[in-house]
Amino acid sequence: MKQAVAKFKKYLSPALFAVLLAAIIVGWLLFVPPIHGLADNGDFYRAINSNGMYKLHDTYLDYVAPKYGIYQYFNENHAAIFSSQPVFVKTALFLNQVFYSHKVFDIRFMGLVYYGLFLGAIYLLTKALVVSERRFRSYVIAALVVLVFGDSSFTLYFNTFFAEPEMYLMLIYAVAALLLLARHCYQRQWPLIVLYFVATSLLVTSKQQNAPLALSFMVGALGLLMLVQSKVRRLALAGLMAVLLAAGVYTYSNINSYFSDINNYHAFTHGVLLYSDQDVSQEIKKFGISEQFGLMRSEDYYTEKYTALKPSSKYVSHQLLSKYNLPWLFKYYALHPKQFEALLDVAARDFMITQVKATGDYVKAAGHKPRAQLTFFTTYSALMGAFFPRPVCLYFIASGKLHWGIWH
Amino acid sequence: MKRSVKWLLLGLCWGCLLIAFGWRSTPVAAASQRVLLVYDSKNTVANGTAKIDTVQRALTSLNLKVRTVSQNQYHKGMLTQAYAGVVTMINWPEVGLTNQTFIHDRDQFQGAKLHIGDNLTATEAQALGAQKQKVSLKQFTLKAQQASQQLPFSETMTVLTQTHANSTTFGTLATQEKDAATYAYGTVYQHNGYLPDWRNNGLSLTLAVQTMAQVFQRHMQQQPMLTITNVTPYSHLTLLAHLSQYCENHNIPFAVSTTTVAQNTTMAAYKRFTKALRNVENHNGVVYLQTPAVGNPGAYAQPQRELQNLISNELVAFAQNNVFPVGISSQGYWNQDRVYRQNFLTKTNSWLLLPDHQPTTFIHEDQQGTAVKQSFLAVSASSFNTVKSLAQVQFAAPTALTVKLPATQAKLQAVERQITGLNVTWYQPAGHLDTTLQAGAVKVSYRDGQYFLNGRPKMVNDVVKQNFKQPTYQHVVRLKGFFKVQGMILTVLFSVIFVILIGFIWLGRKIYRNKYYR
Repeated sequence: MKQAVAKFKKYLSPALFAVLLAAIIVGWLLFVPPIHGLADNGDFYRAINSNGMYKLHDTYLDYVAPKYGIYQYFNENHAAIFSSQPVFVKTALFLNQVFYSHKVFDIRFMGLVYYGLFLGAIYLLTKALVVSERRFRSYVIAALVVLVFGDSSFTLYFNTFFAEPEMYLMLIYAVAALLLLARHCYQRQWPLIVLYFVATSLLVTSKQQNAPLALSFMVGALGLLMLVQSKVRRLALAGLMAVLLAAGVYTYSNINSYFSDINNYHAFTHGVLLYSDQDVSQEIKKFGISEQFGLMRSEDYYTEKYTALKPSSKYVSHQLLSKYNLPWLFKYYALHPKQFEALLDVAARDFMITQVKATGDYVKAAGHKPRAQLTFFTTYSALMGAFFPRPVCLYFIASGKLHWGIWH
Repeated sequence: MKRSVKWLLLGLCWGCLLIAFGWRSTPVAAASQRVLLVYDSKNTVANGTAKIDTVQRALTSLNLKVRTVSQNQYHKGMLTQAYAGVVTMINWPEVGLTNQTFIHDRDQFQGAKLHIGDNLTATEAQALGAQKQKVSLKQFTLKAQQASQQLPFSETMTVLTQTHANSTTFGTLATQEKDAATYAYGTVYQHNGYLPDWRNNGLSLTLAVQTMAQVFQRHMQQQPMLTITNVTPYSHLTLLAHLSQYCENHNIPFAVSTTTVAQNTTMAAYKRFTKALRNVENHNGVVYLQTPAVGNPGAYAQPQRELQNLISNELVAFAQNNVFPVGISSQGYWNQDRVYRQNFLTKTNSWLLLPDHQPTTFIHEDQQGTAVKQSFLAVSASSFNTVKSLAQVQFAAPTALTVKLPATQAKLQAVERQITGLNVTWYQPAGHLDTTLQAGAVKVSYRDGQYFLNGRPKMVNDVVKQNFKQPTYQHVVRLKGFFKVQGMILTVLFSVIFVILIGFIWLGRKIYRNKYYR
């Protein structure tokens, strides 16, 4: 028995153990028919149309569509938004065309691209956490890494055209790179530094709302300056930081007015107008916005039923959306800290509910009801969704500790 | 002798009754009849859907129930004698009518017939007692008595010549050439009518409605009602107050078509909105409750209930603030949808039908519009800006001339100039409107300028004072106590650890630095 354990430890490091475990669990989930994923909520068109694909069936929300058509003629569709996601979609399309078909795209090739990156991320993260130890506790940590990061609520995204998998994987890579640097796991630091900047740049450019994150990653990158001694290397590092910042600025500047209008509108109707202990219509008046717009409290941009005035109308654009911006919001919340705290608490309440309930996880052929939810390997997300503490101040303390913990 | 006295008394009583009820119901609200509208094509590129919408609204304002079908949907026997009339509408002359079944049925039909647009058949021309003639590449001036308006350039138009002596014509088309021939615009002979062209506004629309009224024997002539549109709870309410004051100062009665909200009605902003509407009611104005903008209501299992709740909540909130709408204003397509019609529009007997704004969102489109006691056909007032002698123009159906509520002070002055520039005698809602709007437990009536709430007379100025109520954001959560205690314990624990950690870091750095300072 002891010999078997010794052999196991010798040939299977904790990192490889985690990779093997994750490969089996996530591989079965994504590739073995009937496959799993997330149904289209209406956003897939952004990723598929401009990358030369189209929907074969008019299925939304209820079931996962396993196949998509590939355009056989000139594709006139332009990208709806600026994003680095096409890098991954095009890679999947290329693999599909080489190994499967030129006419039909199998969503599993999308899953395959993310699956490969995911296994790499799991390897690096486990390695960063256990370093080179091969004790029992190291394998427990490896198993925990798989339990947490291989949770199906995250990996279901791989078989989709959402940009979330890219964000998820790149964040793991970025954190793993920092941890590996901090714990001196590898002799050469440059590959890890480059990995950090590549991962963060892809993350920042994956979705337009991630653009401001460039600033956060810049703060993280400041610590890297302490690692390098020579002037030239510091200059190179500063160059990489500049690239990261430029990626953020470029992504932010490419947010088209349509999307920024939607975001601004919701920041107002689901932010400024909510959780105030005063008549909010009077409060916004003090900040230069017609008090009448207070009546828009809780309204959605894409109204589901009926509304007195469409948010996409010129009147709303001229009289409301053009009258406030990010500094306006900062100022408003600075003077209404109680409301801000209440809003953060609301955000924190749903922070750990990671499984998307609005869309189905199965293909229609699997015989499940529309929008049926997968329960396989969702222990972590289910536990966190139920028991994770709610107050937002915990997040601040925890993130503060994490940050200090990494660099000290 | 006794018998003759008896008959005399009976006659007198009957006369009194006629005077008592007949006087009030001016214009006479004729019983609703059904009309079949058949069009060749929607021709959306040439704004054909808007033309169909205006024809539907015009017919509805004449108290006619309109069923609309495209020629592709028409099948044999559809045009029965149950219809009082049929309207043929040619939207795309290059295609025209190809459904021979309809053409055959129409020729056999004995009721009223109206043809709008090109491609008039020889049989139709014969029934009109006239000859048809095609005129090309002309720019016509449309004239009616002293009023006239220049029409846009037209490539081709089929006009009638040698009309029968007994036919009635509405307006004339004249070219700018010297000694050029003039042609009738609207022509009615017996129960057949013809309009060579259809426009959605201006003098041509009023003449077209006159022609329709003659064909379908509807005599509902009345002055146009000034209507301020584009009013919402988010509008510039000060400008609305200024405009109301301006209208009152110039003795102009008017109507306001406004949407409203069913939620957040305890906010000061809602109070301000309803105060502005009460101000309208106090300045010789009336309020029409406008149907809301539509999202995707069909996605819901019970859109009927949604609509019923919506109008009920809106009306309750209005009534609580002494705002009493005299009817419902809506885009025309709501009348072509069974769900909208049955669950919202027919809650009142008074409509103000606005032009459709594309795109339109249907829940259950059936194109079987109904009619109510009084339905105003909304037409942009600006389309009459170029009409000379508008005072001479007769409006054959209830018509609302609409001006948009401006968003700036500068535009307000332009609107005021426009209103006075129209120089017409306006419709007096207080003297003529007799309406009811009922939804849920609330019934609002308007009669002889007096508002009634559930049968009781109400004064607009009786305001019920209500204070702002902060909405509660309490969420029902199971194990709430557990999570609260857990959150507190963890917060304290994390905070203590955080402080200790900072202490250790500070200590560590001190030891590290001291190594070099020794």
